[in-house]
Formats: sequence, structure tokens, C-alpha cells
Amino acid sequence: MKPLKVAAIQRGAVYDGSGVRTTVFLSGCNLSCPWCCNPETVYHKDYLLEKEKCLKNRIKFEHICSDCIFMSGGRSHFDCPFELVKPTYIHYNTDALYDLLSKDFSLFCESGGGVTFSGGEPLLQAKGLHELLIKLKEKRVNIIFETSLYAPDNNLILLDPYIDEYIVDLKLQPQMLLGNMAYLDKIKEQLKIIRTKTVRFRVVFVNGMENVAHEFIDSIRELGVRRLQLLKCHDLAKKKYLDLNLPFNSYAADIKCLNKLYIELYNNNIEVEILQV
Amino acid sequence: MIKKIIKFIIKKSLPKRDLQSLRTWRKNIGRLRRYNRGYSRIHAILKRKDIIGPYRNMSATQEFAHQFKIMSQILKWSMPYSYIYTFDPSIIRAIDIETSLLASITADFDKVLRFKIDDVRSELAKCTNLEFRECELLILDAFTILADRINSMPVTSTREKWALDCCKKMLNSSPSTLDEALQKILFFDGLFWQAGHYHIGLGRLDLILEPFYDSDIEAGILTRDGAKDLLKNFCLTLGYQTSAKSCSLIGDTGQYILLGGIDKNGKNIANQLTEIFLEIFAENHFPDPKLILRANSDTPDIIWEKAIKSVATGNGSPLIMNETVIMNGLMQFGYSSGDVWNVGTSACWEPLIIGKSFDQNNPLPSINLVDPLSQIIISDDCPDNFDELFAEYKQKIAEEIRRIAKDIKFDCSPVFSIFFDECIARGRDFSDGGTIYSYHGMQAIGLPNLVNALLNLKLKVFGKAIIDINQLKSAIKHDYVGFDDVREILLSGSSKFGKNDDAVISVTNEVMAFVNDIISTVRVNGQKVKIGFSSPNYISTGISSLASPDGRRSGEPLAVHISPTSSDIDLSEVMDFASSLDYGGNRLNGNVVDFIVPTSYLKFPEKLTSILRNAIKNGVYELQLNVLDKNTLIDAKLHPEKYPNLIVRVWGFSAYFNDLPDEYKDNIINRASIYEAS
Repeated sequence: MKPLKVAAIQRGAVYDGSGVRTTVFLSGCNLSCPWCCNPETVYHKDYLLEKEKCLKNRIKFEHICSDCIFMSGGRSHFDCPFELVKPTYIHYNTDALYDLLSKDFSLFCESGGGVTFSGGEPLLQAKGLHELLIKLKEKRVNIIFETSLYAPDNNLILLDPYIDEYIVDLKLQPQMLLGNMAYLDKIKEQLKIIRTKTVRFRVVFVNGMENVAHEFIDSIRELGVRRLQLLKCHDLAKKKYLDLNLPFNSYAADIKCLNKLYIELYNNNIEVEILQV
Repeated sequence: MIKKIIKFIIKKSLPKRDLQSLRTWRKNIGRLRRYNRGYSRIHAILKRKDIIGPYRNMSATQEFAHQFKIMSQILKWSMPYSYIYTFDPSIIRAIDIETSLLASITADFDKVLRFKIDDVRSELAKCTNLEFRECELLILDAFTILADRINSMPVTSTREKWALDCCKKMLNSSPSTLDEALQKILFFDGLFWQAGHYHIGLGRLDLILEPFYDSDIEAGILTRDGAKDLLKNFCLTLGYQTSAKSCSLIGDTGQYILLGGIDKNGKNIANQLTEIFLEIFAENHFPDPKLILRANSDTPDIIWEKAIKSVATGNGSPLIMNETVIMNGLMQFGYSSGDVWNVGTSACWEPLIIGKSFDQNNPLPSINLVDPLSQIIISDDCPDNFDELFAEYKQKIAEEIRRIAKDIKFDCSPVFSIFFDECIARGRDFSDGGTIYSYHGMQAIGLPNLVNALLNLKLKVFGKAIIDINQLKSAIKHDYVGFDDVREILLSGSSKFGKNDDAVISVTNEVMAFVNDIISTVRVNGQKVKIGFSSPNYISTGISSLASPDGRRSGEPLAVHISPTSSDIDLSEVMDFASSLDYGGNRLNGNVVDFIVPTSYLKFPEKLTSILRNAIKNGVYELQLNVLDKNTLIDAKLHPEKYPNLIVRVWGFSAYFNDLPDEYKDNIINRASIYEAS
């Protein structure tokens, strides 16, 4: 079985669903949201260079860094003793990841929590996740998937029996798939597959959406959405873009713009919850 | 200059005998100085504080008893919050300077409430130790003198009349209401402080006061809110002389109220008083007294919720004790299984048996775990491999422990002898074999620093050879000046204390086990010794310590308790780590995980409850939770006038942030910064 590519694992998460949860961030995505918090998954970068760890220009060094490639020496930055180079994902086989998740089984039971799979796009690693989800379900672990649903329907069909709840990230921004009928049809089909499950809808708000509020509202109505979480876009991932030598543009949302959209949604009887990171 | 002249004059003009007396009273004048907040010793004397004694040709207990009787004749009680309180800090009992004061004691206030002077006199009549009996009778006389004085004071209010009547009858009867019970506790608590003891704990007040509360509610003479008001005034009374009671820092009084846990029959205590105390601390901002909660797997949700509400205010109360782990450890060590149900703590966190323990939590200097390692590294014959270096370190630590573990000459306490089990039956003073238990404790400090240092040596020096031992030696000798990159490499990396990693846990357990093995071979005053890995001396010990191989500079504070030093380690990780440590053998003297709770967790208190309950289930020993916002702390340091009521948790007590010395403020800000990043 192909190992899973895991970008990060966060234990003790209190925001990602009921109870206290462990969130597994899977690496890899087939969309390119310009504000993505995990750009390494979008641009398929295996490593990032944590520049703030580099001592050059920061402090006086004499002993360790003198033979580094950045000092015109011969030592590769991959061999940096300060771990300048950080892999963007780690491979886990099913058993290893299961063992790690099992550390918190008693906490899940205690708090009504469980495991949340996020990413990237977790559905893209459906085959690798299948065996893991079966094992977790044998222990009655609650499973939430944070997903765009923009993945092969077979992947969703494979995993849906083991998933308790979905947080669906709708890509209805003007820069993404707002106005794209094929996208709406795709999501509608996927929603049919998961119709028996609890679904929460979430949209990242970026400035400008308030200007296309009606088109946005029509789209979410088309999908049958009555209740929505708006996540205010932030710039917390800026450092990652810089570490990956990628261009960074700020999409940090303005609260006034968000409020305009909020009012439109409210007037159209869409229940909205605003989330802040 | 003027002070020097006055000193010279006094030295020349006073008779030798009086000068000797002054030197003998030095410790008490030190206490005077704390009470006077910065007054010099001469100034304190010139303010004519009453220092009682010493007496010649008397034993220590006789001297104590006579002094105590005189104090009862002249002390001025107060009634700041509708209860009479008998502690007058302007009168100080003289104690021989060679004597170690008695501290960190918790009497059984249930016994205090049942105290009847005639019963004690009858008990003493059977005592064959005449000197002991004479001293105890003097103490009883002192109680009577004071009660009579109080009774004869002119009254100006109904409440004062009530207090008088209460004091009149309390010496020979048990209280009949909650109000009377609280007054009786305060009457004797004040006298414990007056006797020259400090860090006096209050014990299990929710258990002890429950019958009075229930009876009052049933009789219709008290409501829940009424009881809450009484208890609030009780707490305010305890806390209103915080400065005078404080030991090293303002707020460090050791006054704790212990809530929850099982009773003698194994039943969990979680009554209305438990909830009321937690509510009082959540709703009011006072740093003293403090709360400690005995938690187990059956602690009800409501108690956890209220405990978290109290913690969320930032006052650091309650500290959470894992009573199951602690009781098992106590039994393994040698405490009777019939006594451990009544485990309390000393001033801060060190377990003892309420009403039966003379156990002193840290009467000896702390064991600095990391400095000996630095000394070996900078020495000329530092080994060139890890195994030999570690072996030499262990030898050095063993020598240090044996050097520190010495017998101690303690003060006596004919006052406590009345209220602690077996003292009268044995005819022996509290600190002279009267109590059932006298297992004193030592504290080791700098465990996180040491573990990180050893991991650095193993992995980065002798393992991957990123730096060699001579570079490290030079770096430490120069306090890392000119060796910034060496310091950075030592500070960096993921294998750090608090990480739930096999290598880290293995090294930590190895160190703790080794220290335990040495401690188990030493004796203090003929008794086994307990060891704890939490200590209040992390700043003072750090000041006199060399730079260390974990990247710490010379003079910087050592790490606090069992706490992560890296921002990569979050709450879940450190709980797992702490649960994996071995607290067996002699490792009983407090093992606190000190953690700063991210504010995001406070938005979901029920989830934080789950995390803490799970940690207790998994075996974490003790938990101290802080809620700190770095920006608030920085602003408070710059503009203290904006934050008069900002309370923070220091090593085992809470204090107003503005009262702390700068080095403590900086340390707390630094820790808040680390935890904010995690």
C-alpha cells in the first residue's frame, strides 16, 4: 500500500469539530487557491527553506557555518545542522499513523472528539486512507473530512462509509470557480453521494466577493446550502511562501467587505457564522 | 553613612549580652524587614517592634511556651472582614539563629474545630513527660488569656458582639454553625502564624465544613449565597496580611485551601462548598490564599468546569493534584494506607498527610542538576566520550546530594503539638518525634536544562560531531560570547525536554531514577528523604550557575518545573511526556507540570476539561496552569499603574504582577512568549 504523504499532524485541536481532535493535514491538492495556507501542496514542493533559521546576517558565527554553501563552502543546505531544510511532508504507512492517532483515543472518548483529515485535499489519497479509516472505525473513532469535494467520485465512494461528517470548502470566489457550471455540477453530484452525512459548508472570504454577492448566493442556493461558515482570509502563511521562494500576494480580508456580504446573505435567509483564525 | 554611624554607636554602647541577643534575633528582624518592606534592620528596631525573648536557662520548648504566653497578653487582634484574626505581625518570637523555622505545615482543622481545652488538659494529665506537659499547659493558658482579652474588649457592633461570644465559648465547645466554624479556624490559624511558623495550609475545608453548611441550610439559617459571603470574608481575612506572611516574594504565604478528592471511606468530595470556593476565586481577584484541587477519574464535570473558570481568570488557582498517583506513591514510600486518603500539601505542591506530618518540604538547599555538568565540561580532564562524561556527572551529583543532605536543627512547636496526632500521647514535641511522619524533602532544580544538555552532548557533540567538546568547553567558559552559532545549535532541534520522544523520555527517566537511587541512601534526622523535581529557586539558583550545555547563558534562570522549554511542544505533547515519567520510589516531593494555556483553549472550557481529565487518567502528577497574554504582561511592566490587579502564578503561589521583582517579571514574559508560539 502506498504510504500517505502527511504535511502535518496537530493534536489537541479544539476548532476542527466536536470535542478535542487530532487533525491530519494530507499533502497534495489539485486546485490552486492563491491564498492557500499550504502552498507546498499546491506547487508540489518537497522541501522548504526556513530562512529565519539561517544564521547568515543574523548573528556572528565562526565555528559551525563557515563551510556552508551559503558561505561559499562545500556543505549542502540539506546537511545544515540547524535543519534549515524542512520536508513539506512525511511518509506514513497505515500502521505508523494509526499508532500515532491511537495515543489520543482515550481523549477522543472523553471529549467526544476524533480525527479530522484536512490538507491539501485528503480525498486524493483515498486508497492510502482506506485501510486507516477501517481501523479507526473499528475503534469507533469519529472521523471528519475537510474537503473541497473536487476529487474523483470513486475516491469519495470508497471513503464515505467511514466518514461521519464533512466540512466542505466551497471554491466560490471570483478568482476560483464562481460562475463555473461544471464545478457546480460536480459538487452537486458529490453532495448526493454524501447526502446521509452531516455536512457543514465553509467558504474562504476574500475581498471582492461582496461585489458578486448575488452570483454567490445563487450558486450556494443551487447547491442547497442554507447555512454557511465564512472564514476570513488571513496572511499567516506568508512565511511559507517566502520559504518556498514563491510570490506572495495578500488576500487578507477587510472586515467591512465581509460585513457587506454577510448582510446580503442574511437578507437572503442564509445563516452565516463568521470564523476567525 | 548615618546608618553606619548608628550601627557603630549601638555596637559600642550596648552591653555584650544585648548585642548577643540582637544577633540571635537576626532571623526575626529579617521577617520584620519583610513586614516593613524595605526598612533596614536598624530602622526596624528603632520603630520599636516588640521582639519577645530570648530567655536564658530554658529549653527551646520552655522558651517558646513562655514567649507565646507573653504574646497572648499583648498581641493586638484585628477584625478586617467581620472575623477576628489573631495574628499580630508586629510581635515576633525570638528564635535561635541556628534553628530552622517550621514551615509548610497543614494542621487538621477538623481537629481544631473539635478542640476543647478541658479535654486537652485531661489528656495532658496522663502525660509522663513533665517538661512537655508544663509547656503545653502554658500554651493552653495563652489561649485562655487571649480569649479572655478578646471577650473583655468593648463592642461597637452586633458583629463584634457575635465574635466575642464566639471566642468566649470556642475553647470549650465545638462550633454549631458555619460562621462559628470559620471564626474558630481563623482564631487558631492566626495563632499558628503568631507562633513564628509560616506557610500554614488550611487543608480540606470543603470536607471539614460540610456538616456545618448542611446543618445551617437545613435549619434555614443560611442560604447558599449567604455561605458564599461568609467564605469570601474568610478568604479575605486570610489574605489581608499577605505582606507580613510572605516568605521570599509577596504572595508566597503557603496558605492553600484543598478541595475535592476522596474521604476516609473512598467517597468523592464534590459538595456545594467545593463549588462555592471555586466560584469565589473565579469571581474575585485575590492572589492569597490559593486553591489546590485533588482530582481523580471521578471528579465531576461541574467541578472541572468551575476549576477552569477560576484558572481562566489568570490567578493560577487551583493547582491540580492527581490524587490516585500521589496516594499510591505515598503508600509505596512508607505512609500508611489508612492515612493517605487525607493527603494534603505543604505550601505549594509537596504531598504530606494533614494533621500527621511534620514533613518539611524543602529545608535544605536545592540540588542544582545542571551546574555540575558545566563544571565537568570546562575542567581540564573532561572525558572525551558521552558514557564517561555521564558517569563522572553522576558521581558529582551523588557527592553533591550527600553534601546537602544534613541533619537539621528545627524550631519546636508546643502549639502544633496540641493539634497533631500522637504528640500528646507520646509526650513529645511536634518536631521532636511527636508526629507520626517526619519525612523531609529535597528538591532538584534544572531537570529540563540537564536533559536538554545531555541530549545535546549525545546527539550533537559525541554523536553527529556538529561541534566538538573543546568548542563546547570554550563556549561555556566564555558564556557563549563569540559562540553565538554554537549556542544556536544547542538551542535548536526537536529532541527537547517535554517531547514525547523515546530518547527524551529515556534520558529523563534515567536522570530521575539515578537521583532517586542516591536520595534513597541518605537520611535527614534519621528519616528517609523525599525528592521532587519542582523547586521555587529557579531564578536564584540560575543566577549563581555557569552557562550550561543546553544553550542557557550564565546567570539566566533555570527551567521551571517539568515544563517544556521549546515552542514546538504543545499541551498534548507535554501531558503525554509527563505521563510517561516514573514518579516511584522517593520521587514524591512534588512534580509539577507548569503550562501556560493558550487562550484558544479557554474559548472551549469543556474541551480543556477533557484534556485535563485525560491527563490525570494517564498519570500526570501535578498540573499548574497559567493563563497569560504576553502583550498584557509587557504593557504591565511598562505601565504598572494600568494593571493594579493583574495576578500571575509564580512558582507555586499567585502574586500581583506589580509586586514581583523585575527578574521574575522578565521570566514570566519570556515564558509567555515561548508558549504563545507553540
